[in-house]
Amino acid sequence: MQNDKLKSLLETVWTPFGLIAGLAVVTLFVQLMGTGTVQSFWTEILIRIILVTGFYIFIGNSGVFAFGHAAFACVGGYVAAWLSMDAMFKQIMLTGLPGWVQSAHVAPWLSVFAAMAAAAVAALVVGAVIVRLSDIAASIATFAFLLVVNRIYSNWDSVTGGAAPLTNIPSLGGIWASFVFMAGALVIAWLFQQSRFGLMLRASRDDEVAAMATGISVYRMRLVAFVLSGAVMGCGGAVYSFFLGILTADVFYMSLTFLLLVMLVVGGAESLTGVVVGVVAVSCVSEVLRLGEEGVALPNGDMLALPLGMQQILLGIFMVFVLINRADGITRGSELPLPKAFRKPQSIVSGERKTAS
Amino acid sequence: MAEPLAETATRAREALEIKHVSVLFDGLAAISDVSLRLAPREIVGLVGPNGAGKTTLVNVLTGFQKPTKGTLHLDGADARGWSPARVRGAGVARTFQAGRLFKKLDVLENAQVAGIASGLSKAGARRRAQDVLEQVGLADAHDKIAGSLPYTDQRRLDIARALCSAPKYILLDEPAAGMSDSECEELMGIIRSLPAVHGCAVLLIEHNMHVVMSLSDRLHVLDGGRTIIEGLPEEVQKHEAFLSAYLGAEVAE
Ligand SMILES: Nc1ncnc2c1ncn2[C@@H]1O[C@H](COP(=O)(O)OP(=O)(O)O)[C@@H](O)[C@H]1O
Ligand SMILES: [Mg+2]
Repeated sequence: MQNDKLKSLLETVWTPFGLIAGLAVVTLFVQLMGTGTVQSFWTEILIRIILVTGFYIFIGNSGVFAFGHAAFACVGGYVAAWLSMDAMFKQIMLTGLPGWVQSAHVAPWLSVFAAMAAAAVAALVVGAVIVRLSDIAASIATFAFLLVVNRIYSNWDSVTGGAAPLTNIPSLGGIWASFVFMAGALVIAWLFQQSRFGLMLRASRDDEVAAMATGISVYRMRLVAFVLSGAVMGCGGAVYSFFLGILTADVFYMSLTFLLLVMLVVGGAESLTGVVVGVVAVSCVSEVLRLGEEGVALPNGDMLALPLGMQQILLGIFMVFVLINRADGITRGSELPLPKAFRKPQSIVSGERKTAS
Repeated sequence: MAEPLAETATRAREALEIKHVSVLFDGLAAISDVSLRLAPREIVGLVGPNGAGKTTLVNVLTGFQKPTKGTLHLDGADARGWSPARVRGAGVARTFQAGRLFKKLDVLENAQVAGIASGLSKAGARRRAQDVLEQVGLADAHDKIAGSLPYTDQRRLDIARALCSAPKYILLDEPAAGMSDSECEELMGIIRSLPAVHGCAVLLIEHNMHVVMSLSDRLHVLDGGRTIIEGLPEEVQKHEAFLSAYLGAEVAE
């Protein structure tokens, strides 16, 4: 009996545990063996997992495609930078910031939490309107929100530096600092998806009318998910800005949005495992394409390179190719399966049911 | 001694009730001046040919369709204009003619989520779902994805889901459609037991006259959006108007 309980616990925590453990092994390997380039390539993958998880918490559970989430990463990225940057720089360059922000010198890891809170508040305000719209209108409205945020952040010179990038953003620490926040994002997403809110939201994703008839307040569930996904985007944006060390609003704009959505869709938008699979698969393909754009030297000394811009075109084609073969993405909405040895045999499952009822 | 009197008074108001309801779609009447009352723990059969307005009536009773004219009362409260979720919260559950399961969730989750929406804890909703699934004969299908179930099991799951939120009134829209005779008989056994086992009243839409007659305390016959007859099954059976309306539909199908 004790053993059964253990196994059933294992079944519920296996997916995030398995994913995090797998990523930890690779991270350790990269840290020990990888060159600087490989390490930053992998760190960027870990950060993209945070960001795609942010998209996933809303899109995956609600079925509503919200394109604008990069805006929350932007909000978070700037909050983290403002709080943690050197005071002197802020007093000279960012004269529009309130005094207490100018003089603030918060530890980077702490300012990640502030970034999450700020992004969550932004998501609450925007989400309260957006989740009441029908699916297509909601998608367009989130997109419009991204445009608005980008315009504001690109032009509000006294606060964001405008077109001139913010520099001297401190670093969060090594590869493991990003890893910890990535693990946190996966755990949050998993807890939400297993929670009563997550279950109700996934029900409404499958059939909104039946969900209403079942007494589910679809708006409320969507709003909860929207705020949570906004917070995780804020976290991702903050960690990303620490990773880059330099920030403009365009970092969190169209090309990032496109890349993250390709990752989500290729991996499978309806499972957390799909997030990880999609980020890793697309990052690898796009890295190969990027190297292709840089070109390789042929033995005779000529350079063979893809024309510039091919990276994104081929990435789009790659996505279409995956979707033609697997419309629900690589994982088809299923989660990481529990290794056979740990699975409960079927008879024990039904025995448990009888004792429980 | 005042208490029993007050109790009688509340009981008299306890009902899901529409009065003189009409529903117009683009000026065309789908329902015209229909009154219907479902009291606690009774089974009322709603019959009529296709297009008679049965589903529209269920939509009115569950907040999915606002009546153009007429009133809707739930246990004495004016429920006109309530959202479906609010009506559901006040004790009225329904099933759908077209299934409408949560296709990608498994069977247990489909039932469990209804209990959760009605305020139970996850574990409590799970226990309730297990019980109800057992009653409708889906105990061995917990882990199956709802969309992959055979058609008749989907109908059963739809009923189980409605029951999991512990409704006081349950409205079943052609639950036996597409079932074989023996499956239908089994299902009717379950429906017959609902008032006793779950303490809920049933509005049953069903085409098989033999079945409805044997199950229902009262019958309500619609045709062309109007009430043709209502009353005890024996009374209704005697009516010529009903038989021709109904038999006409049988032939037309
Ligand atoms: N949303 C709607 N818009 C327009 N007409 C409708 C709508 N719903 C139902 N109707 C019409 O109302 C009438 C009654 O339909 P319905 O209630 O589905 O009948 P039943 O369930 O008895 O077969 C039909 O003529 C149908 O075409
Ligand atoms: Mg109908």
